[in-house]
Amino acid sequence: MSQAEARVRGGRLGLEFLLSEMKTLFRRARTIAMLGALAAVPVLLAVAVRITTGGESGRGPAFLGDITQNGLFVALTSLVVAIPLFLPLTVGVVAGDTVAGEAGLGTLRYLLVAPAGRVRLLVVKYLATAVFCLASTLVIVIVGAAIGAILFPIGPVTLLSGQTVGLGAYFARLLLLALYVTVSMLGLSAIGLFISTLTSVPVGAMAATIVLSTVAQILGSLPQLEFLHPWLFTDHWLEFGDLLRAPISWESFGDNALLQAGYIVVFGFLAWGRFSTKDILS
Amino acid sequence: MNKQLRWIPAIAVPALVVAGAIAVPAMATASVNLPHKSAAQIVALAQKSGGSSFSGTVEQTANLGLPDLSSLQGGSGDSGSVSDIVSQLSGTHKARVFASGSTKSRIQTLDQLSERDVIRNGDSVWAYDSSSKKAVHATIPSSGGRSLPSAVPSSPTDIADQVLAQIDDYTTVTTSSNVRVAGQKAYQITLTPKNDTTTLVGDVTLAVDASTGIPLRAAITAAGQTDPAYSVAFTSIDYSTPSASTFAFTPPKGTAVKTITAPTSASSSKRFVHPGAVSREDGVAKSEAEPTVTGTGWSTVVGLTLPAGDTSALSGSQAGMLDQVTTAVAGGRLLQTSLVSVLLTDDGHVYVGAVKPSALEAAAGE
Repeated sequence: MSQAEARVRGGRLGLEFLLSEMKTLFRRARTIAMLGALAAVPVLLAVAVRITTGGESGRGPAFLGDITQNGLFVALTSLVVAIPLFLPLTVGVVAGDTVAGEAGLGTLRYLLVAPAGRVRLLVVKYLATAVFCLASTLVIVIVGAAIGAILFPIGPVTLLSGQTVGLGAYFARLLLLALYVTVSMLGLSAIGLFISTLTSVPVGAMAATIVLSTVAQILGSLPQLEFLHPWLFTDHWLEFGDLLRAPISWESFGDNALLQAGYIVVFGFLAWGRFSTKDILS
Repeated sequence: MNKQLRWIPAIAVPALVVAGAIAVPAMATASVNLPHKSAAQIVALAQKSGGSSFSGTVEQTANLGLPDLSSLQGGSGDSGSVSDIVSQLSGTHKARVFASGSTKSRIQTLDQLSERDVIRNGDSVWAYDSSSKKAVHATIPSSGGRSLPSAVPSSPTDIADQVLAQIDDYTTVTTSSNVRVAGQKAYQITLTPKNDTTTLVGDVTLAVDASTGIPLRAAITAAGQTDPAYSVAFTSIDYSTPSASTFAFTPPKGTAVKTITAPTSASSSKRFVHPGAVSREDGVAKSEAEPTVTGTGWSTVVGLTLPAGDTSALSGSQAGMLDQVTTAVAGGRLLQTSLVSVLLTDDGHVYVGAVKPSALEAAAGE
């Protein structure tokens, strides 16, 4: 409890509150384990491709066949594999835990005793989740590029348009990709934050968030529901390939950012409406 | 009571976001004021737009009544001719189009995590497929057509070129209300086949940029339908000249490059939408035999002879796909869509036209 008070007492600016919140988040064994699991995705993938030489080309996730020629593609293939399931899973756990976790532990009221304010608490919780999104994406990209460089030859990378770029330009694009995927997860984080304010059972909020991401992806794959697709937060998740074209196609980046911003605003205000009217009993 | 008021923004803001998301596209279709032009003037405006420089994004929507086979296609790197074209003819596809003058162009079909490119730089034409890592290189005679024949028209200019070439005795042109396409003010003309009972085309609507004359949208409606069966439209366009490096292409390492001989330009001028028979990149090679053209105007039928070895391309998984989209008729298999019919005869001929199947059978019988 004194820990909770210390977390808030840090400062009134919110920045220190955010820093202490992030410290709590990233020191948690669960968070470290999840980042470790995400790092295992590219490692497993690269090792599997390395030990089974001469697999069938043209099957499996995108860029899989390119890995043997250029190890840097491990980062891309890992992202393709991680985006539909692993990333939403970890983000759902963190986002679902934000408020419900504190409520479940009984620390929520101590957080609110200090002059933190409920709005500031929500904002800080959300920002910490966003930082986790960025961290988890970067883990995949960096570990993927590293393990690829260790196990396979590396060299200039061929973009989707047929142009070849050097390592520097490729890493710049990888960082853009990480940013794109991070932005993609912000909508889901906002949904998770809202669900988290509804309950004091963190597992329930996590499960609901993860289920929603799966449901949205299933709806997105049904051609009969095409009218609904532009409204799904998963709609642009796999369009990060647009950053691998020459010249870069920014359209999907913009569309995605706008869509995610819409989700952040809608679910942010819903979370605020719920949280500011809620009786905090735990 | 005070507490309940805090829900107001929580409800009002989402409502505003949703309302905004619906209202903004609706405002874009509000009426557009432009000086009056006759149908003939708009046609002239569109015809002299050739050779402009621009770059833009194009969205193509096909609703031809074909089954959606995109899920069957999977990540197959060896997507052959039939499945390739069937997938291009169902659902929505995006492409980026770059043009610099009349001799440099690049069309990038943006698939998810892959891309197909057709690049023309002077008399050199490249087709590149990033998923199969294949490239085709062709050199076209300098007197050749505007671009290589593509199986599926992928920009509004493609369709406009074809229909405007046929503005003669076979077409009635009327104007309709001005629109805004890709942020540009545009005139609209509707082209209707005249005295033609064989064609499946109901009408073709073109939106022509009021300042540059570039066709910004083309929509083909099948006879007896109200919604377009096939439409291609710019979603954004920029009239600055794309950089020269856009049109340079060197096949990347590990690409299988095939060099083919160019077609004679005579055949390309008479074509309309004729998908199905040949793939975009292999089309030129396959149609070595001179295509036969029967019929006139909108009911033109193009006949192609597949080289003997190429019928095997329609075996295996391709055949399964083919069986799904075609029906057996006397003497071959028929692919019937709301806009285009394709007849594959058992003796290796392909007849394609925007006509009723009976016209194809008549052409095959000749």
